[in-house]
Amino acid sequence: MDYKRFSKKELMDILDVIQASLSCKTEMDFKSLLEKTKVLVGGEHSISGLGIYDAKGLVDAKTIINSTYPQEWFSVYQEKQLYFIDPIVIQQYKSSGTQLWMDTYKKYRGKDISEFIHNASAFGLKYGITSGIKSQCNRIGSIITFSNSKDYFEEHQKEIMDAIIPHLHQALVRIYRQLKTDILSPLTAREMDMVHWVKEGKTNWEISMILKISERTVKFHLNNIKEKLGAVSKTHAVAILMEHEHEQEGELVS
Amino acid sequence: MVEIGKGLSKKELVAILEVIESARTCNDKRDVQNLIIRAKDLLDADYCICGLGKILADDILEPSAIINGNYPEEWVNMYKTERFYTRDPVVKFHSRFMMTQFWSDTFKSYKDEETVKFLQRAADFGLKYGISSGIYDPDLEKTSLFSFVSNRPRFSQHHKKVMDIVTPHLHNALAGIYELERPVQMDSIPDVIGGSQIIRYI
Repeated sequence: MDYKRFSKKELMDILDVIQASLSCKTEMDFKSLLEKTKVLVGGEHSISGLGIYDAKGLVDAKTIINSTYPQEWFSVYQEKQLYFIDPIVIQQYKSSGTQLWMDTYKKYRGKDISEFIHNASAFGLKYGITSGIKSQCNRIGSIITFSNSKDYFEEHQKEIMDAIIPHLHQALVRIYRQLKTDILSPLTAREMDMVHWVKEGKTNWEISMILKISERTVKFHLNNIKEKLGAVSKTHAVAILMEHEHEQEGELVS
Repeated sequence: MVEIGKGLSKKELVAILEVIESARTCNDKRDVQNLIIRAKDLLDADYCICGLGKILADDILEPSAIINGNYPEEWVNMYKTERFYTRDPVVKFHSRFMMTQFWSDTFKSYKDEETVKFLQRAADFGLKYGISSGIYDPDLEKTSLFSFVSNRPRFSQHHKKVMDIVTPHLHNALAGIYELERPVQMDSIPDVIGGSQIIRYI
């Protein structure tokens, strides 16, 4: 990248964002980082997320960190899973690199999309710049967006995004890892024993025999596990844990 | 903004960001070697070297990987063979305090005969004035150390500021390729890359 094309002020701000991204550990840290970056890029609102993708595009949104998007719009967006029809998200997970919304909008037609764009504009989300990085090994991709009610974004802002996005991506992935660890950390050693035997296909009675405890105690532990993981059944709990293990093994590329 | 880059010239800011970008794209030892040479130029140093190791008892940092930028090869070989890291005051200081250090400050605390002799031998190779820094990596349970050296006193607080900015990125690059490495035995022959030796001790 040719950094000489940036002003000294921009270079200092880019460096500041990069250094801040190194020490990002929590969602709050990342929101603060997005705030810094928003000023640098010239956005009014910012949002970011990580999603699982396949050859066709986004499959599942894993985490979304809303910095300053209007809460009402954000709630509707999440509830209705609008990321599946949002042309910016579709484009980001289909290709890669940095996109200006206006360029992307020209490529997408349809009543749903027109309605989506119209509704977003009503919340001041009319112009924007979006970028992200797609990890090839585990199919997790980041998406980071800055929007503005005015037509502010140009090639220069794209170059700034290109300079900082890899660092924001790394910070986002690190926080996501931490979130996943936090999900598992409450499980006790005894609960992990339970999980092991459930994964082996043992019934509650069999587990009670193996661990030499009552079946009632087994049920008690399993209920605790379900509650901690937000699972609806013991099978669901195991699925959550296995997904976590799979992601750990896949090791996010950062 | 915090303005980490305050006091740096535009040329330096550009060079720092280029080093950071290079660090992010390091895939192998040769990349890291090129990276520290680039950082050497940024710091206006003559020689550079880096390593990754484990802190043992008695303030010893046992290197598991050393990537030589352009230290005199004869010295590096001697350093390895004679296990100089057990008496090198820069390494000893780093294993205790883990902060950017000016060699001239560190040397003041080590006046024993053995160390003085060691420093004289290093000085004979032009390794007299230096600035070093590194990071402890809890995931790897290893500590990195990056040294930039000159044969005349030239390192200032300004160099320390630059060093503090780039060290985390240099560390990430070194730790990143180390994770891909398969350890080799102590007595194995060092790899030779571009005329400089990459020595692994594990």
